Amino acid sequence: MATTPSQQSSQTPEQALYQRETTCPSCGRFVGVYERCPYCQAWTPKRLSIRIFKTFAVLTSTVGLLLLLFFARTIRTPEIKISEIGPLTNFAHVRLTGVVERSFGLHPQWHSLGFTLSQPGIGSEPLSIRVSAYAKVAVEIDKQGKVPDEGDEISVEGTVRYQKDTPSLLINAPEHLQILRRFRAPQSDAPLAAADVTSDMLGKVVTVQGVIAESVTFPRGALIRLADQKEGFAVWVPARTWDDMKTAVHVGDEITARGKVKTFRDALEVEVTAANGIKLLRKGVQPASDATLPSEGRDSTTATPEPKLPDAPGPTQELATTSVPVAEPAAADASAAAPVATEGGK
Amino acid sequence: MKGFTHFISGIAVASFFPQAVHMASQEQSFILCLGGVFGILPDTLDFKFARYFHTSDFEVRPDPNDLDARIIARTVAESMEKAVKDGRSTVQLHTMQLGSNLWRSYTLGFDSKTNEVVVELGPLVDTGQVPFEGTEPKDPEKLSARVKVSAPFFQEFDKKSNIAIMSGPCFEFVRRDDGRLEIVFLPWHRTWSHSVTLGIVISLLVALVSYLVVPEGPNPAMYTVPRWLLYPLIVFLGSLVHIVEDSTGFMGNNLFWPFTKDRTSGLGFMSAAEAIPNFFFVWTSIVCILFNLDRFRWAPDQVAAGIPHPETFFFWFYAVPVAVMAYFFLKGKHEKDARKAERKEVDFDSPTASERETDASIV
Amino acid sequence: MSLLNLLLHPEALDLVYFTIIGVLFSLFVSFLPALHIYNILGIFLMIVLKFEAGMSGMQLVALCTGMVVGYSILNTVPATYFGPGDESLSYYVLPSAHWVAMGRGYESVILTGVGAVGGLALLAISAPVFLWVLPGLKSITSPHMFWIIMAVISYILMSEWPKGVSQSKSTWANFFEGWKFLSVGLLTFFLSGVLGFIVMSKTLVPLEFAFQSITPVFVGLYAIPWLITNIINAGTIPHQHECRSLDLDWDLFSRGIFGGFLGGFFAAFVPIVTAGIGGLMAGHATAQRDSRLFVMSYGTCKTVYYVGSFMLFFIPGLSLTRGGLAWIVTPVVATLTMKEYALFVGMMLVATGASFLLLMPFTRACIRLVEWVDYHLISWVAMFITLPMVYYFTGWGGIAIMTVATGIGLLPVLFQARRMNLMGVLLLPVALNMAGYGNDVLRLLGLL
Repeated sequence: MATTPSQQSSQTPEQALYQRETTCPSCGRFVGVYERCPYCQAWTPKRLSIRIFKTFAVLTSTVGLLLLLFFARTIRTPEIKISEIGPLTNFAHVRLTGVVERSFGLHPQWHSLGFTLSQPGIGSEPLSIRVSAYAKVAVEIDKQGKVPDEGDEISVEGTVRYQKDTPSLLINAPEHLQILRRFRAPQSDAPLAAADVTSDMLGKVVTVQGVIAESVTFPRGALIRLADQKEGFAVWVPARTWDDMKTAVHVGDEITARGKVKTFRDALEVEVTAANGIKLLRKGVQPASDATLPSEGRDSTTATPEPKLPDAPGPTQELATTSVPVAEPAAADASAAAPVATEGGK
Repeated sequence: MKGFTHFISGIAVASFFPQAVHMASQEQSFILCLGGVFGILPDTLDFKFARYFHTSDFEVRPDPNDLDARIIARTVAESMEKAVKDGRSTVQLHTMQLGSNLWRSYTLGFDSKTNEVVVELGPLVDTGQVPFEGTEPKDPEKLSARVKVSAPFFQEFDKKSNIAIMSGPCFEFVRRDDGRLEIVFLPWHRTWSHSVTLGIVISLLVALVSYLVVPEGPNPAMYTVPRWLLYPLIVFLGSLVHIVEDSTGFMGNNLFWPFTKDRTSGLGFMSAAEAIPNFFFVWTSIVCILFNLDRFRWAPDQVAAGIPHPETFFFWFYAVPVAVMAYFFLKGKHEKDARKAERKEVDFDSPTASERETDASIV
Repeated sequence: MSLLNLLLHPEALDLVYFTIIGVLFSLFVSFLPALHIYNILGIFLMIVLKFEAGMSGMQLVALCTGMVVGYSILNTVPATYFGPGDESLSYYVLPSAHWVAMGRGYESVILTGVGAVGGLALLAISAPVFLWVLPGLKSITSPHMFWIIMAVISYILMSEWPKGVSQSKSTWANFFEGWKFLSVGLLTFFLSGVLGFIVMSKTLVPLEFAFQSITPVFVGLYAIPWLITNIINAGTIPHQHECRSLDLDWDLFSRGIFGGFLGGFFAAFVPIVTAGIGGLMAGHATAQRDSRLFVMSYGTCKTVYYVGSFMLFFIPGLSLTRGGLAWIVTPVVATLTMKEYALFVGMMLVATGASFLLLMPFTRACIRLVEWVDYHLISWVAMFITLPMVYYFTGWGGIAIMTVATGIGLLPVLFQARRMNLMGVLLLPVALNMAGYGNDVLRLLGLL
């Protein structure tokens, strides 16, 4: 049994107020929050503050909500850069515009959509973000013929998800994806000279032609420099692509390299990601300059200039550059240096 | 049984249909929830609708400022006398709220040995029905009252009701062929809403609509039940499982209303307000749902089973918990029987089983 | 013993230190009245980002573990005396307010603390079982989560019974009186849901605080209405009795812990479901009636919900990230092995002990405060801290959201509906989005 609350003979002002507020003035029975006595139906008005808050609650929860809704309808989703996304922007609803770097299309089993969107970075390397949509939205996007292809320029709206130090964007509705410009492969895919590759072409796939001035391999890929009038134009081939390549090329060969224009340390380069991206035009053409070109910090202290290219036939060996001892780069250095590693952190 | 018990049992019943599980996982359908909704619906109909539209011949509105047990007892007896004369009569007893968390309690009993209505005024209680010591009214004249009734009466189970919080109970008195009055607790509860008839009618209506609007789903050859029939079946079985569960208690249902006029008694296996019986049904439902969701998973040859060894699952997650529940349930029952045997009198001091079953706070 | 060896290994002693620091920090944060767990997580995130570089992954985990365990146990105290900050707390506070009114607030807090410690002990005991059970449970329930949430919604809405005690002769008058409460509940749920859709589909707060966009919503739905209630309340807090023993037996203890654990685990496992909802369902499933049982069971439920959802993250191979705190540590915990899991359990137990030791002096301090300072004044101070904070972090957009949320949050308080309906703000949009109908609603509202 609980003890009874002590009854005080003289009421304090608060107790008197409580009594007045909760008792029916007509029948004297407890009515609590009721404004009409449940027993005798008498009107038992509450004090002003309660009535004010009741009115406030009804008005703000209905009219206020409607106003908020109309206000929200007028709000344009803020357009931001990928570089502005961080842990504190998690769950923000934003718009991004950029070029589709890689499109995975609809997942064959789950029908979800995934692609990476790229924007020019503040420095040299383009920044990219993974964009996805769940099955229901993805199927709608597909029905509307809006599944983006690589190279397409798009504007996409969605919710930022920042997980495991990696941002991503989730498309919530098919209306939120707009294709601004479809990428069309040039009809005449004429090779460009290295000097003709400009920063306007960033993110686009081009074919560049030139003579190999230098070829250096790293644990993460191979760097081919095409001779031009300056220090050479870089063609970067990631290790996996390099390993798959059937064509052997050597210093002095004239080649075409097809890939996406990117930047590395403020310099333009072409990244070849297809195994047939490099084609040999002529063997053994004399380079424009015999000078050894700097490898520009793809980790030059630890890089391993190989005496020959993989699967290279014997006669090219004499053209090989000087060999240095191999040392495994530290992970942090490697990620700072190699484009592939940088991508991994996007 | 608790509303939650009925709700989850309804979902469990729905999960036995492979097509319903596939619709949920592959088409984002809420069809399994339908079982839960119709599982709880009979109580919803009673406590949110039926109770308000049931009118009583007599009403007891005790005045907390002038309490007198004799007035209450007389009013109830008057209602019983009316039933003796007219065949049926009902009385509604109201509660007395004194504060936001303070109520005046009183008890109503029917002493069939002396043919008397017994009313006792009780202490103040809080909303949890915890009494405040020493708050019983002091006037012995008004504290309790016994009023004789001209006809003998009987009640199926316990004989005393504690009227304290929320809405008070209602009693119906029905004159039977042998001239005795039957005391029916909450005459508006577990009647038409808890009938198989209503389940069938609603299901037929749902079937009509679903037949017209629900198209044939993908892979119809996989299922024995056509999709349109799935909806009425889940609706019917969801409400049926509610009725079956309630029948295990004391109060029973009016199974074939309006063909049968009165509520039949329950099987009396367990009180619907008890923790272990409720949890037994809930746990059984959870185990069934998980097992069904797993065995009816889409593409079972491509997706690994969540329950790779059903026998191990049922042993550890069903047999063992049920054994533990059975042990504590039987232990409690023995202790209760022992206490009853010691007293050898009618228990006038605890709420009745029927009252516990029908308290809105329990449902 | 091996767990102890692992934890007390000299290499891991720094983790004990960070765990205790986390508990002490939670003591400070718990004292801020009426703040929701999401607001607290925002503060956690700010702090974590400041120290992230200087700490190892497991040290950060230790800090977070101490914070969440400490918060889950200690926040009961200000919630009891100054008002709850979230739905999970308000579910507890309504019954506990009766205890406070009877001068038994201290007993209520300690009962909750006992429940919390019991729940955490049960969580630690269940740790090996989780390894065996949860992967299967996850694979079974993953494709079905959306309807499970919808079932929760259906039950919340259908299980609210009329409260009206109208004794009019007119049946219709009684019917309308009873349905008045139910209608307010349904309206609250619906309005909260619409608010949820607005907030989730548009960023109305500055981008740099988008992670806190839900803050004004919860401040409005829970904190401000509670503070307003405190301010306009005409009653006084009676003298609080500091009990020396608890009216508790083993039967009650085991039933409370068991029921609370079930509810807490359900809430931790199912997204969006909170301890209040889990506790309600578990309470109904186990037919709880005794108020002591309720109060203690609630302590278990709330703690298992807060800590359990964080714990799920550490279960090797489960890949289940539930709750904001788990998202905070994802960047720093690269691998999850049995060692990390065991360390987490150890740190959780250390934090439990430290928090429980702090609970009694902390409760006494709060009692002294409410006896010394008028709680109306405390509520005013809390209001003056909360409002500028919301403006500072979320701007005028946040203030607008908070104002509307306050209106909705006041509905159940002033019209006697269940506060749980306010969880419609998350339940409705998330369930419909998961089921793929979210866009239809957004189109209807003109938000697409």
